[in-house]
Amino acid sequence: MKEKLIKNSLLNEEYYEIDHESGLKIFIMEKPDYNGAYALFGTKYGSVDTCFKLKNEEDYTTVPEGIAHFLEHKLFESEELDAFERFAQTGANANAYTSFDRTCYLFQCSGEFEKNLEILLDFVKAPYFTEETVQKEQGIIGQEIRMYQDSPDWQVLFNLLRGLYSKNPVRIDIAGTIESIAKINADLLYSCYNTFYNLSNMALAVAGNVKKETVLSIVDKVIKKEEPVEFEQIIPEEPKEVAESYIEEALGVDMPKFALGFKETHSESVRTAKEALVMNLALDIIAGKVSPLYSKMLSEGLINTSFGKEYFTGRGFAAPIFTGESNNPEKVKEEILSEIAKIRECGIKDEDFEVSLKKLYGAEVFAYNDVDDLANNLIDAYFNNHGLFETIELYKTITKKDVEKAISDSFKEEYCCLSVIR
Amino acid sequence: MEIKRISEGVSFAFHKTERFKTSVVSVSLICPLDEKSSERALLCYLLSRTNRSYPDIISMNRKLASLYGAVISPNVQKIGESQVLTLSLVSVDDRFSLDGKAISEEGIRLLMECIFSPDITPDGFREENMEREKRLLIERIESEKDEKRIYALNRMVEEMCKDESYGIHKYGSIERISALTGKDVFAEWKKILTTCPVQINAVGSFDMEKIQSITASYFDRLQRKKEDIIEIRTEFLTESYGSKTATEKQKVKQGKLVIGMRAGMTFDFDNYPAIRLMTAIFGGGTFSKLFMNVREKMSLCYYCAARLVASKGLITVESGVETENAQKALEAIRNELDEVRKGNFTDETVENAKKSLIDTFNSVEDSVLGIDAFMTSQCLSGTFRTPEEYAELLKNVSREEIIIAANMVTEDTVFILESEEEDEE
Repeated sequence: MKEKLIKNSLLNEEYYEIDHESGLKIFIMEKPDYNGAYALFGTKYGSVDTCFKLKNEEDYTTVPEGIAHFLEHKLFESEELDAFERFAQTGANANAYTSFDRTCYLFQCSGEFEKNLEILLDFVKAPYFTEETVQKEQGIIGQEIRMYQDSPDWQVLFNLLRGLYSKNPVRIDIAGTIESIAKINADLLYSCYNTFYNLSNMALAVAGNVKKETVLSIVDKVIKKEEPVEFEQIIPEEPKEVAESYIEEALGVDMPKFALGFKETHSESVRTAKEALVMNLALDIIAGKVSPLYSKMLSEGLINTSFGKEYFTGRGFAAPIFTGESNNPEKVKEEILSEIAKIRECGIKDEDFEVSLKKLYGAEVFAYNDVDDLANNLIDAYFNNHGLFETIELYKTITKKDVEKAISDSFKEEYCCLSVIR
Repeated sequence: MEIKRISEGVSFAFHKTERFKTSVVSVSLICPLDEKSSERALLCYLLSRTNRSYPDIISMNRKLASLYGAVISPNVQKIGESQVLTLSLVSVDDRFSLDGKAISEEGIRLLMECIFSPDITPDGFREENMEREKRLLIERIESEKDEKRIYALNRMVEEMCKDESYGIHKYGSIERISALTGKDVFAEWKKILTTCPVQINAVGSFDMEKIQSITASYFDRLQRKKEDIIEIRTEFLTESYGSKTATEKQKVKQGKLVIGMRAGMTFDFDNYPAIRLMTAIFGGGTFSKLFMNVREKMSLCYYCAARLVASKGLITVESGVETENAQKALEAIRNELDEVRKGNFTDETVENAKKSLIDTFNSVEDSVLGIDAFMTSQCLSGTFRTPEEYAELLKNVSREEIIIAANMVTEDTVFILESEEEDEE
C-alpha cells in the first residue's frame, strides 16, 4: 500500500491519496470539525462508453444507449435486502448518478459511518441482475426519460450536443430512449459490469468527520484484491465540423431557451486543470456578469438572469457553451461572436482580467466548504488526471496571455452550433 | 446558534464558526402575502442589482468581483402566509483573501447600502431599472410555467388555497407587475422598511458584535416604532371540506399528479414531530411506502414523494406518471396513506424514518447556507429551536402518535396535468 499526504498552505487543507493493495485508489480528507461525512465510490464508466471488449475477447460489444445509467439503477438491488433498505437502517442519505464519463454511488451521513461505508462498498461490488428485475426497472426509467423529455433546459442541451457531434456518443441521452432500454438484458449488464467495475477503473473518495484508519479498515474488510482488467474501446472518429449549425425544437414554451456551443478538437482525452481554468476565465471575460456584454444584453432585453456559461468537457469532448432564455437567440449569438472578435483584435484589458480572476478565485474557495463538494471534487480531479489543489495554485501563475490565446484558438464560428427550444 | 433582538422588530441570529471558508450574511424582510406581493417581489430584485454608489449593473458586479467574488443574491420565498424578501451576501472569509485584505466588513456595508440607499429619484425607482426588472420578473414567471413539475405543484396550491392568502403566487401576477410604476415600488419600499419584522443572519468566523452593530445602525436610524411593526398570522385549516379535483391538458410527454392534504395542524409546530415522521414513513425517502410500493413494486413512476409544509399545515404528494396511469397511481397513493392510518408499518420503519430525519438535522450545521436557511425558518416559526432539539423531539415520538397524526390528515385537492393526445413520432 502506498500513501501520500498532500497539503495546501493557501487553503490550509490536506488529504491522503492511497493506492490500496486491492487495486483501489482512495482519497480521504479528514474534517474533524464537521458533524457528518460523505463518501463517493465511482467508476470511469458513463454513457459515452458504448462499444468495448475485454483485451482477451475477440469481438467488440456494442451496447444499447443508456445502459450505464440502467446499470446504476440495478446495482442497488440484490438477492436479499436491496441497498436502499440497508441504508434505511442507518439513516444515511444514499444516492447515485451517471454522467457522460462516470458513474458514482454515494452516501451522506452524520452517524454510523463505518456501517454505511461497508454497505456502499459491498453493494457496488455485488451485482445481481435477473430478467425480472430488469423489466421492472424499464418502467421506472421509462418515466425518468419522459420527465426529461418535458424539460426544456435538458432538451436544449442535448439538442446542442446532437448538433455539435455527429459520431461521438456524447450526443446520446445519458438515460437512453424508451426503445434502447427495451433492449437491455441481464447478460449485457453483466458484460458492462465486468468490464468497467474493476477496481483498477474505480476510486473511493471520503470527506468529513472520519479517520483515515477507519476508512482503510473497512476497505480491508470488504474489498478483495482484484487483478486489473484491461479493456479496449472503439471511440468513433469525430470530424472537426459540427453536425448542424442550427437546431430548433418546438415544445410550446413560454420563454424560448437557447444553447450556443463551440466544438473544440483535441488530441488528449481530458483537459488539464490549466486548460479548464483558462477557458472558464475566457468565458467570464467574454460574457460573465462582470463583462460589458452581459450588461448590454441584459439592458437591451436580449437575455435574462438565467443566462449562464460553462466549459462542457469530459473524456473525449470539450466545448465552451452559453445558455439562457431569449426571444431572439440569433441576435445573442451575433453579439457573442462580435464580442469574441473584438477581444481577439484588441486583447483583454488588465483590469478585466484581474476582476474575473478574483471572482473565480472566490468561487473556487467556496467549493471547499461542504463535505459533498470535497468528495466530489477529489474524484473529479482524479478522473481528470490532476490533483485537487492544482486549480487553486494556478491562480498565482495564470496570465492574461493564456486567456487571450484560448480565445483565439477556441470559439471558432465555423464550429459552433445554436440550439433553440420554442 | 444564538439569537437576539438588536433594533425594534429586528432580530439577529448568528452562528460563529471557523469551519467554513466562506461566510454568509442575510437580511430578510418578512412581509404579508397579499395583493402587494408583486410590488415587493420586484423591489427585492431591484435592491439586489444596484445601489446609489454603484448605480449600474456592471459597476456593482465588478465591485462584488473585486471582493473575491462576493455575491449578493435576491430571494423571494413564500413561507406560510409570509412573503419573505431576502438579500444575502456570500463572500470569502477574510482568512482566505489572496492579499490578506479584510473584505467581509466592506461586503456587509455594500449589502446594507443596497437595502437602504437604492438608486432613486424623487419620483421613485428609475424608469430604466423598473423596465428591466419588470421584464426579468415576468420572464421568470413564464419560465417557471415551462418546468412542469413546478407548474403542477403551483397549480395545485392555487386550486387548494383559492380562498386563502397562501393561494397567492410569491411573485404576485404578471398583470400586476406589468402595471407597476417606480412610484408604487418606492412607496412599498418606504413602508416595509419601517413596518416589517426583519431577520438578519450571520454565519462565519467574523466578529459578531461588529456585524451586529453595523446592521443595527441602519435600522436604528429609521427609528422604527413598536406599534408600527406588523404581525403576520398564517391561517391554518385543520381539515378539508371534501376532496376536489382539477385537471388540465397540455402537450407534454409525461403527466403530473399532485395531491394536497391538510395535516390537521393549528400552527406550524403543532404536533410537528409526529406529523413529520408520519410524512416520512408515508412518502419521505427511499424507505417510505410511496417509494417502495408506488415506484419500486408497481413501477408506475420515477418519483413519488410526500412533503410536509409545516408553515401552512399542508402535505403535498408529487408524482410524474403516464396520463393513463394517473388514476391507478392516485388510488395507490391513497391506499398507502390508509396503510399508515391503520398502523400497517413496522417498528423498524419507524426507527428508519427517525434515523433519517435525525441525520438530516444533524447535518444542518455542516453547510453555511444550510445554517442560514435553518435560522430563518426558526425565526419565522417564532420559537427558536436548534437542530439538536429537533433531533431530540423526533426520538421521543411513539408509534401511536404517528398513527394519530396520520388519521388527522385529510385529502383536499388533486391536480392532474394530462398529456394531450399527440402523434407519437
